Amino acid sequence: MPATFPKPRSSLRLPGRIGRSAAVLALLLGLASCSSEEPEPEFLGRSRITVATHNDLPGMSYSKNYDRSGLDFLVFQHVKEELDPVPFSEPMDVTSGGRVTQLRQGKADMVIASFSITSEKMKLIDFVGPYLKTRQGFLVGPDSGDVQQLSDLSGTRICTWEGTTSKEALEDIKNTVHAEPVVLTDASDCIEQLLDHGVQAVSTDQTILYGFAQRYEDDGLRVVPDVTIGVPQDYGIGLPKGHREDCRKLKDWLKEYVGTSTWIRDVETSLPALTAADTAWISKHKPSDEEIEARSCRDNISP
Amino acid sequence: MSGDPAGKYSAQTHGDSSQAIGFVGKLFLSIFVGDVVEFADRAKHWGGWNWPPFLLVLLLGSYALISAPDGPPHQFVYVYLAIAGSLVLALGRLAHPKSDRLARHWRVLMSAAAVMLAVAATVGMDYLSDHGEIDITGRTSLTPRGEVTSGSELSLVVTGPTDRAHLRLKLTISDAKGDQGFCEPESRYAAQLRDRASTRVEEVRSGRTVDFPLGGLQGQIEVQIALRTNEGCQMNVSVAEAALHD
Repeated sequence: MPATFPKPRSSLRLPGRIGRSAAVLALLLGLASCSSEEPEPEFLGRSRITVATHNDLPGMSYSKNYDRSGLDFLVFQHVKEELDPVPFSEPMDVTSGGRVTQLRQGKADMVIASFSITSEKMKLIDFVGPYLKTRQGFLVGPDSGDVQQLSDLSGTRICTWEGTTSKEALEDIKNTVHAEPVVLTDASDCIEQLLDHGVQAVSTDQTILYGFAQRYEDDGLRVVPDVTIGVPQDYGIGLPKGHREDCRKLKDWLKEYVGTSTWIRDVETSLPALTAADTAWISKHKPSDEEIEARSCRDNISP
Repeated sequence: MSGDPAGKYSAQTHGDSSQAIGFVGKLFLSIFVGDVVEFADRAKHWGGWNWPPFLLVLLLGSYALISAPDGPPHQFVYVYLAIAGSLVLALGRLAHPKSDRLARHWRVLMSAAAVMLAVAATVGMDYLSDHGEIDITGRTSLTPRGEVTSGSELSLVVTGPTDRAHLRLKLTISDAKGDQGFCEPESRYAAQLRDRASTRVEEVRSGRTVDFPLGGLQGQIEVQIALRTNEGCQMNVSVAEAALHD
């Protein structure tokens, strides 16, 4: 067997090794510089998104001891996941009457707060939605067991609060039902009045009322089934105008989300009283793709 | 300063700015009146054969404009273009009667084209008088007025003569309570001419145009409309456009 000798290391290879090391170093430095030049992720022209939501609507937007819950909150979490890695601030509280103003003044970048889409508001802000449909109903106390239809509310005092679309519908039925509308500052004031027998009913969107019915179950509050008034309400995500591309991106996501079982599970989790009261709740409360398309990212309807 | 010594009836200018006034006067005349002398010289050379086509074009164009019927402006575009074209050609022919640049056969062609365009404009205007669109939006009345809900039946009546074979109609359905909701997208209507079920159209959205064949209908036109929208919605229905056409 022929003897083998180790091949002498050539001194000429040394510069090659240094060259390779230098190349690797340059590549790493290049990558590092690339990553530092990468633009920050943005949405609605902001590098950090602030979402405004309610804190006093159980089942929809509720906050207790800094712990948020409700369908609006779940939608917010899904939006956050969808837009990742865009950073979001902690949600800020908003009143019903302050929702449009917060968006227009730039204090909030997005409003997810049981926000009804109306043709008047569409002229001021953009909507992505609806993610939930509802009608205006009535919440009564344990003493109103006999209230089964609208005429049973004749002669009663019915409470609603400022900044919602519910006030006008109550005014409309004032002459036909002969019930007195009482308008207070916010939802909790009305519930307090109902529990104290100051008013005989509270009227606003059924989804919100079912949330209160669930929360005050022990006090015997209940939603009058199948008694509705007013214009159908469609809850949308409010955005400032001028960001149509981002708006359409969110609309495409919403159409997908509403079509999944996640949406059904979210409603069932947030509003168990609503889903238990009506087996056909999906057909009443779930928006179709056409409805989302017709209301999202528009100034008005196209012919 | 003063000018040259003046004759008995000549005008004189005096003072420091007298030369400037004379210059400005000439400039004004040359800009707004043109060179009158040169124009008069050229007019002497206009042959008698150049005038009849121009006058004929002028006569036909005037007749077309005077006999223009009422109607949406877009249908008159071609007629107005023909009148303008004929006038330009006739004027061109009149202004350059013996120009070296224009061969004789081109001059003849210009005259012929001008007259033909003027005739086409007159015939076109006559056609529009008999068959053109008539805007009747102002002749319509829709009842009941005010807010309507799903299932409401409305009646649209067109007063005046039924001069054409078709009625084109565009209705607008809008939210009566725009501050409370948004029902427009799901709102539809069905419509038909009274007692003519064959003309029925279904599921028409706001802002869409529908066409009804009138089929020799005499007297007033009545369209029956049935609104369909979501429960609880209150809508306003109005006539955006109504036109009779052949």
